[in-house]
Amino acid sequence: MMRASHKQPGFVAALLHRLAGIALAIFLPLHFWALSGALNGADFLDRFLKVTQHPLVKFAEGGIVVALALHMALGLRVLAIEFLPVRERTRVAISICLAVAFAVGLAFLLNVV
Amino acid sequence: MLLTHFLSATRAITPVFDGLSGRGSGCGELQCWRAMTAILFIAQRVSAAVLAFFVTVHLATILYATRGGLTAGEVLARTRDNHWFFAFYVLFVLAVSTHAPIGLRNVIREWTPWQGRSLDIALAIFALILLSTGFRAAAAVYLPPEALLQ
Repeated sequence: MMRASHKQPGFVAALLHRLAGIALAIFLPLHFWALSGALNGADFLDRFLKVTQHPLVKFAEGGIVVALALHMALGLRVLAIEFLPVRERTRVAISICLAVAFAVGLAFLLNVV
Repeated sequence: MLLTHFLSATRAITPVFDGLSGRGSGCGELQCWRAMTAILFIAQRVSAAVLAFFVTVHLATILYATRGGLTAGEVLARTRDNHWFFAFYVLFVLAVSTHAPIGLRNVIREWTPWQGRSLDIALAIFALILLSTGFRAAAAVYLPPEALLQ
């Protein structure tokens, strides 16, 4: 059920922060596993990197980079609200966080595509 | 100074530190729960502040490294035998293994009916998995091939 509070920008910020965090928590063990492949030699890592050339995988990688940047930017917002004597304008803060995240994601995709 | 700031902010939300320092009436069930909540809160925020630095450097490295494609040779040439790199990623893994399980605990407790000791144990196991796979990954790209064969 959609409550009135769910339309508040602070709720949207918290929701995006959490969803990005969950995506990163699922991705991290897989990321570590892939890097551990270097224990089997550079050939294994190269074979793995070839798999990541698929457009769908590149798109997913871009999504994870956006999630990482977004989670960090929104996390800094939380730290600022909790520990610094600042008055936050939530809508502006969310817009900046999203802009930073998508700029980083776009820069990544321009590099790999 | 940053830690002092975190501690004073946490004191503002819970009086549990009086109990922990022996000035209160000891650690009852409720008080222990509040103490754990306070400790997890501090650990979450301190690791978040540390991770802000690590993630910024990591994102910059990703953007730099992926220019013109990525090969295992290029990655390993940067990381093999690089002490700074190894120290950076060991600390990164430590911070993320603290931060992620506590964040997941908060989300699961609020969004699902799963609470209590079984959840804490599951997330402690998740933290250990992150620690072990993370250290293994850092070692895999840091150690020279001859060291891996031994």
